[in-house]
Amino acid sequence: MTIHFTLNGKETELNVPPNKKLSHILRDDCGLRGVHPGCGKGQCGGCLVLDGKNPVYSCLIPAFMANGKNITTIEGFVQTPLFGIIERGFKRAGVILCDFCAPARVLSLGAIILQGRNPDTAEILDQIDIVKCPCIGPESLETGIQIALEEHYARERR
Amino acid sequence: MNEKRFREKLAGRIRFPEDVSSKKTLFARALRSPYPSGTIEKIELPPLPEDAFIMDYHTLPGSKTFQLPLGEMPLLTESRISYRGEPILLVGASREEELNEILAGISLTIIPEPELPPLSLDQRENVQYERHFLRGEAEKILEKEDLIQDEDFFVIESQEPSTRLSAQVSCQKEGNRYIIHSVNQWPSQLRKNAASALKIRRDQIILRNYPHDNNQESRLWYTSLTACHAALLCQLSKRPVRFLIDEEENRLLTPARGKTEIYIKGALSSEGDLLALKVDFALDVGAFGLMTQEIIDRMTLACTGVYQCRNLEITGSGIRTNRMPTGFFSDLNQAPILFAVESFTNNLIRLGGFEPYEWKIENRIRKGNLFLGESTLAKPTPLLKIMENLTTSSDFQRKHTSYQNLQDQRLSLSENRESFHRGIAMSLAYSGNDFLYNHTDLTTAAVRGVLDKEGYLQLYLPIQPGIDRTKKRWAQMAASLLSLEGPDRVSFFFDQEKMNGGPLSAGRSITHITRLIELCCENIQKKRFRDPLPIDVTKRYSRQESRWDKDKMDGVPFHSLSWGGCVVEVEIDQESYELKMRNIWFVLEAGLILDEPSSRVTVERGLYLALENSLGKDWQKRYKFPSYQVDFISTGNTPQGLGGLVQSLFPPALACAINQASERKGYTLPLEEGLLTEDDRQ
Ligand code: FES
Ligand code: FES
Repeated sequence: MTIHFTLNGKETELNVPPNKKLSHILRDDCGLRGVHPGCGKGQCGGCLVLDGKNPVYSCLIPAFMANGKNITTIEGFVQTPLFGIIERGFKRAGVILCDFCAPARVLSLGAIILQGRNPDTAEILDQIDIVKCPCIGPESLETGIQIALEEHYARERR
Repeated sequence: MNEKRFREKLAGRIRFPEDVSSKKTLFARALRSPYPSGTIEKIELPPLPEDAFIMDYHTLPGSKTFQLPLGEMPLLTESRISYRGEPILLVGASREEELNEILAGISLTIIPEPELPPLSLDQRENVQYERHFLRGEAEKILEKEDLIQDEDFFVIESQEPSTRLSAQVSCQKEGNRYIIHSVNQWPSQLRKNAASALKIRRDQIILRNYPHDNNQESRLWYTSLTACHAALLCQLSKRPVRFLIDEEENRLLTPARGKTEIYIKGALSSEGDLLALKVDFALDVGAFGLMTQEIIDRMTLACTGVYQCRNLEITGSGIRTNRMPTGFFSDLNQAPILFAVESFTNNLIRLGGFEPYEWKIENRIRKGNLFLGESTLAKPTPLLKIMENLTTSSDFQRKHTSYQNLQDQRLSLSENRESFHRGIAMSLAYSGNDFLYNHTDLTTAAVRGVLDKEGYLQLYLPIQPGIDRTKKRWAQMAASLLSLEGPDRVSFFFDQEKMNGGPLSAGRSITHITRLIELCCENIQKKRFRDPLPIDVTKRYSRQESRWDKDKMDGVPFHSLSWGGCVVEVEIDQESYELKMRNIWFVLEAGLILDEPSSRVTVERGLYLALENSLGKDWQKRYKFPSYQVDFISTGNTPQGLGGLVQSLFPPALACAINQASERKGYTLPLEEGLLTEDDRQ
């Protein structure tokens, strides 16, 4: 089937099997290798992308449902100023992520900022949980997110 | 980590084995056994497209086994099934959908057979390896001494977190060489096995190793087996191969530890001396019993603990079952033993009426004491410092006394007026770095240093550290040893071909490499005044067998030791029986900390695993990640592995703190639910 959607700000048209998962479309048909599907079942969060301002698991979205969406992957997000803010936050908090889940982490945090939220610790922890990482605790990530949020809102006030 | 790499990572620009693909890529998978035990009777293949490829045991071109220094297993099974998920066939096709269709069309007839009996201390069938260690006269003493206790402990099966990154593998052929893209911690082992499976020379196998994630340490052989499979199909099809691993296989290829059962009997004199300990333990080592000797001997050494005790009798066995072949858990399999031995000792000293802090200060192992088998401890330990630091930061002594008074009152009044009860406990442990078994494949490492005419130093290392800061520290160290103009005069090359190193596990790598760099530089420095530049020096590490007599368990088994202590404070709500971990303190002595942030991450990850092992798989649904503090005290100038210290330290401290708050003892890991509920266990 032919699907039309916005991908990283560009109108995109593709011919793909209707059940092909968005995660695979992004990787195979669009060459976006920053999408890292793992479980294929909405459990790990490796395939996270933004649908508008919302984080979604692209492995759960078949092609026919991707039609008409506004999708941002890490490749698109990197072009926005928010990326730098998050990078600095993570850096200052000493966040050490594996290469595999790092982009999904950035996007899930980016979603908080895009949505204009100023979450408390519990909400931040919930957001961290969107990307299931079995190898580190949430401490440094939480600090990283706090730093990024502070910088973002300080800039906004200016 | 340098800024650029950090940005690339966050931006998703780091490439992985699964990103290696071309139009000619062959998608491959293994057909695996759905049964844990049985015999293959028949395999019927569906009609295959022309460009599909199949390989089974009989068509393997070279060696049919995958070899490790301590054990082997088949690359593909011939007919006997030894565990669920055992690879039977390798299948490759041009498209993923086609591959899945072929796999679905294969009809596999397996006659299931009864599984080997499950682990139990009394079950003596299928013992892969047994170790008996005797020191003094434990048996005699345990018949007559004052305070004798015995208890059984169980630690159920647990698994490292599985991340997909570590299982990915691709293989391409370039000229007569096979390029394997994978995440692998033991390149020499991979190359050796892949070369003999493909029946080619070892230098025809090239590994493009990808940066490992936080979980690589325990994946001793797992990725190598898959890499051999990918290379075999690449050779057969003459096409690049992407080996696909689904979530279930990924779990299968993630190190898991089998169940452990431990029985301990001990005697404490009225003066508080730990007179004798008898420990019997058995570990489920899974199919093929890989690395069993190393694991069981390490566990036996762990039984000897950190307290003085002259009389010991330890029997440890590794029992084969139909569980997947075991790996080398990141706590080096010490955690189950330390949980049992520390919990037991804490219970014993409490029954004897001794204050734990003072008892531990008094009875801690010191220089000159018998330690690790028959040897005497040659160097002072940092245990005293660890305990002092711990008690200062956690206020352990005061809290323990006050919680103990409250507990005693509760017990005597048999009435409960408080809305919550608190408990606090301390545990101590050590961890041996490097492997016990002196097999060259396990223990070698080499570093080459070349100082050129312009005063630049090139260092050739066998591994690439995951953390850039480690490299920076190495550069600083080398520059200062050779009085170079600055650390930017030092450059690193990673040459797995020549600097063949052993695996990363057992906290060995960074320790050895740091030491080898140091030796190289010292040697260059000496030669510098005699010889013309360039000076080229290679230093190898291989342990001298003579230092450790493995039969008698005598001598110096480990290259170095790391030490640690932990205090856990808990609170149990008397209405809901909800457990709250109020705080956790760690003090760790792991030599020179090259990079503190990454050491903290190692600790955090260890704690994460320890929480899972102590509270069960779904602990996060019930508990928040607790707050914790870590203090690194460094005595040496060489880094030593943090190993699984945190995983070993946390469970007994938690169990004993709960014991003080609830009067109930934890005998199993994860701690049984009943520990915190109203139904009485004791
Ligand atoms: S691949 Fe989508 S959540 Fe795991
Ligand atoms: S899975 Fe990436 S840091 Fe844990």
